[in-house]
Amino acid sequence: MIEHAVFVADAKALERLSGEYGRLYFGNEFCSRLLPDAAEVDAARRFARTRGMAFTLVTPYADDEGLAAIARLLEHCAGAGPELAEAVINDWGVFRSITEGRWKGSFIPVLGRLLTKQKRDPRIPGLSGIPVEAQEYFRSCNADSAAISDFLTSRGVGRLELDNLPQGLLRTGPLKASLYVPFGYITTTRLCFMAGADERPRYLRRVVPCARECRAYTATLSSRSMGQDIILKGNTQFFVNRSLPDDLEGLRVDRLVHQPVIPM
Amino acid sequence: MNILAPVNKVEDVEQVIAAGADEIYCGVFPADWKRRYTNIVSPNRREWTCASLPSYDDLKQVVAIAHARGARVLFTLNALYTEPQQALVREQVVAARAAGADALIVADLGLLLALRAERPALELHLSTGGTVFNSESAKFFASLGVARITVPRHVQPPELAAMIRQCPGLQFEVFILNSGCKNIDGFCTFLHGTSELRYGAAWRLLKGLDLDRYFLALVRALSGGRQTAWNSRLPGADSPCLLNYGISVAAQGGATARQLRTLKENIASYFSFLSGADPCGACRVDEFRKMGVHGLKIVGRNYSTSKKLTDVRFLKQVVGLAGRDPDQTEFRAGVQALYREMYGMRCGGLCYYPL
Repeated sequence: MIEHAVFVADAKALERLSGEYGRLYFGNEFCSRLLPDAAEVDAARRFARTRGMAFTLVTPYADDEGLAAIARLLEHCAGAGPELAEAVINDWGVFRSITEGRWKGSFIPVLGRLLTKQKRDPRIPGLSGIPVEAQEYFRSCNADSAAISDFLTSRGVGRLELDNLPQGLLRTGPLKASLYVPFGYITTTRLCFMAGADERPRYLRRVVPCARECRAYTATLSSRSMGQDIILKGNTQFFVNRSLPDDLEGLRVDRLVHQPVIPM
Repeated sequence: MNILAPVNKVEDVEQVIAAGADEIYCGVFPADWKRRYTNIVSPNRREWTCASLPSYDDLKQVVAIAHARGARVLFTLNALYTEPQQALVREQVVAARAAGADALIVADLGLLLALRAERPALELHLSTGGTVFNSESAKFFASLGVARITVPRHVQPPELAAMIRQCPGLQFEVFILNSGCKNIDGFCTFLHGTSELRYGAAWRLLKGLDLDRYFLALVRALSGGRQTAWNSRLPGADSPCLLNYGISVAAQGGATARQLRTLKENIASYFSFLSGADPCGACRVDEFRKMGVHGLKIVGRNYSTSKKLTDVRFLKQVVGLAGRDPDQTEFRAGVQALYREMYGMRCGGLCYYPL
């Protein structure tokens, strides 16, 4: 039985959400400046509860300042409902806090797609003359290795978040997985392409303040050698793959995370 | 502060140590691994074969030369591995230890966990691929037995200072020269090395001649907007960060034509050849010294010996300047003058750690 979840990053998008889903993902993976505040999380939880949806808080990688913001949200959410909320983790510091630190036992930890380590270059399906072992490597992820699976299990993590790779998926590990559709992330940076970049020409190698321009713009990068267009949103580049694998059960995928729009 | 220099051939070792390197780091790209996975699935995150030593016999010689001169050798196994690769990687660990490597640089959590269990005495350093952006992450890896952390390029000096204060038992090192990719190494899943896969020996010859470095130095020497006007139309340019993308921008709300045009031009500038030029963080060396950074890491295993020597000599002099003058403005002016003198061009404001 596949669970259908929907990922919403912007609280304003909740009211426009349509479709039947069993779970709401809310938050951000790629930028701590896009984290919702406590009121927005409350609104999202209410939205989920009134529609009978389970709730998953999504957290990004972060510097110490961002980590403090994540901590405030975790504190706010811990024990806030009758059931434990899931927390998607994309930072080893957050992992530590949730699996062995202050919030141990307060959330169901899930390993986010920044930490499951798949190869997502859209050129991979077009590579020719690649040995079978390399092909299998490109369809796998390191989080499926025995050492990592055992470690995650020992810390209470039972789920991996995976992208729907255009080259296909190969699972070797025992953990359940969620599959993100249709957008897969390729790469991310702290040197945001869009922060403050619509006002004046600049070439910057620094982290700059932003007005969440990423929510106002979407760029498309086209190159013949890339195989497909890349979508650039804020600090992150994405591919699109709408074709689901045939054997989700065999891949131990029991949840689809639908992204109606890029979750930024 | 230690200076860490890259090497990719035995002949480099004596010279970079004589120039001032305290530690050297290198990897091996075994033929068997390459046969199974090709060059684009490197065991050590350098997908150009010429960036690595060809064999463990070479590593043994590297270690012998380095140890005879009092320098340590750090061995890179800093890729991310799938389950079928773990046994092969473990063989590389055994070979590296047998060759006498002093420490391993790793990024893969699975390898780290396995080594902690099997070889608790082995000195482990966390690669930038470990993505430590905060103190809690640093503590997480310290709890797994990591002795040193190379922080990602995007961690700025004040953030690092806070981390060092929070983690007194850990050593931290920073990137200081070359290869300033805008993406986060440990979170980037793009391929590199596809040109070598496609063009084979011809590409290896070109890469070995270091022509890309001279070209990028030329880009750096251009003025103002001309620096970002060039992007890749060259056959063989395979880095997704430098591709000649057609770029379109759509607005979800109201945006003026000028805003759309400005944003498009700014995005395009990031995919210009300027993004491939080598940045520098030397102006912050004195701050790093004060906050207790252990090592300054020079990137560029595949660079020519002459480039490596210039980098090490430059950095050695910068470290020598650090601490002499409490005025950071004076220190930076001295560093920039030294850069002009040693590289024959201005640094051009391509900073790892902009002020």
